[in-house]
Amino acid sequence: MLCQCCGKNPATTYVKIISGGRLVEYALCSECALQLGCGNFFTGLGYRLNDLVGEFFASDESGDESRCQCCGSSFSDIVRSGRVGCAECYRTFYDRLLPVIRQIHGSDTHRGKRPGGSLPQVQPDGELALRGTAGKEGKQ
Amino acid sequence: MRCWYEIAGPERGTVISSRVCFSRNLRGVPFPPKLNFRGKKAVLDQVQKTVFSEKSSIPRYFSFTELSGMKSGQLLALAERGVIPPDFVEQPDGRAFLATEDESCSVMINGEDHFLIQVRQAGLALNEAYRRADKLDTILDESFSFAFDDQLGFLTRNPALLGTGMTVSFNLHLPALTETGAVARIASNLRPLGISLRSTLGFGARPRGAVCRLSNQMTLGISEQEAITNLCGIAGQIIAQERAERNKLARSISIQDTVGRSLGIFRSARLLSYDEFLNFASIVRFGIATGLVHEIGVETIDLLAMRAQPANLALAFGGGAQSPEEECAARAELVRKTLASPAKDP
Repeated sequence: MLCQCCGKNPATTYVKIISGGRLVEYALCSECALQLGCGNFFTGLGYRLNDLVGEFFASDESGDESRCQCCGSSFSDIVRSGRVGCAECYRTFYDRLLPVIRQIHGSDTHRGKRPGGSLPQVQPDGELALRGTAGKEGKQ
Repeated sequence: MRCWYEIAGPERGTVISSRVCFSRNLRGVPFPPKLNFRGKKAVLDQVQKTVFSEKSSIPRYFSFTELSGMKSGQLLALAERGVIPPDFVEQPDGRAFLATEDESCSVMINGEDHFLIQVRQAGLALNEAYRRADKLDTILDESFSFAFDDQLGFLTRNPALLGTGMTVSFNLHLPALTETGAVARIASNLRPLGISLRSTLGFGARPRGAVCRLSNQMTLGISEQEAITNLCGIAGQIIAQERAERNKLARSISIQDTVGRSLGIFRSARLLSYDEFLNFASIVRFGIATGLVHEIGVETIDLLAMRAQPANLALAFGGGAQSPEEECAARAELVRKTLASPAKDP
């Protein structure tokens, strides 16, 4: 089946939206699904599950796949679903996720808001700005 | 109280709405899809307890609504109005939302992430929407302590949202660029820039109702203000192109005739399917924006666009099952009554 969005590539992802007063499933290709924020970023970027997981097993003598202590996700769970199980997974699988994150975003460093929004924030242009104080923001 | 889409906003002829969303998660708690019902309920209880505590700094005008037990018609209507995401309709258990009465501001709980903070404003008002969303985000963070990493920013279930966790978008009415076939070309040119332009109402080569969503795709390595500035810059260029094409089209007697005939059918029809409604609403909205139609405001068309959606229409007409003909008759009646009453800005 061809993608119902672009009509060019084979559909690989199914997305449900509200249409005509009911939930309707659309079949999308990996590229369109990623554009809509609902695809699997691993497969969308051309990664193959066997390569990623195989590489992981090769580095683990016991052959048992390690799991996140917080949510129990394995790395292959993350690759299959394209979604991370919990915040702790980013720490547990940091070395494996970082190259993919760099590929998705072209960066691996956050430059925006930090918790404690009322503290002075360094803005991209290097100037200081006061955020979140009675709706008045500094020069941005 | 009037809803956010009933209020006038800058550049409303082309920009239906501006939206800012933040995806946020609790520290030390698996993301919602990894939680069972009890785990999700614990998150809801924590939110409810915090929001309604005496010390809470969350504004009192937010209402808390749990979705368990709600009828599917009510859930579909909420999803059509964008108060909850579509997947909440299928699996409402363990999910809830906080919302203001005008529905401009909502927080969806236990979706893909623990919190999805959403602020919507009519017209071109992304900075104002961001200011409100940022303020609410800061208040919620003080109450719940969001998962954050110094390097990766706010931690989200979808790695594509890491960093700011912020999605900003405009809902644009682009009848002229749709007519000239330019939307697909613009969308393809924007893709390498990390900006997406697509049909808001479903998928397909030609956007339904000529309504498109312009949104950012990049969230890591870019600040919130940079993302907003980029999107506003692109939106400005699209608005200018749309306006130039509209001016050309509006001079054509054939287009003027189409607008006049469409307005006549729109305000007199006794049966209107949803696709017919979208088509006529788009043509009439184009007529208002180009000065060919004087007696109706674009806010009236946007109000109708929200209320004439199938689930919202069914709810307004009693909530019972409607035959296709009854649905079309109810929609036509809604349009006739609404257009008969207001005499708004030229």
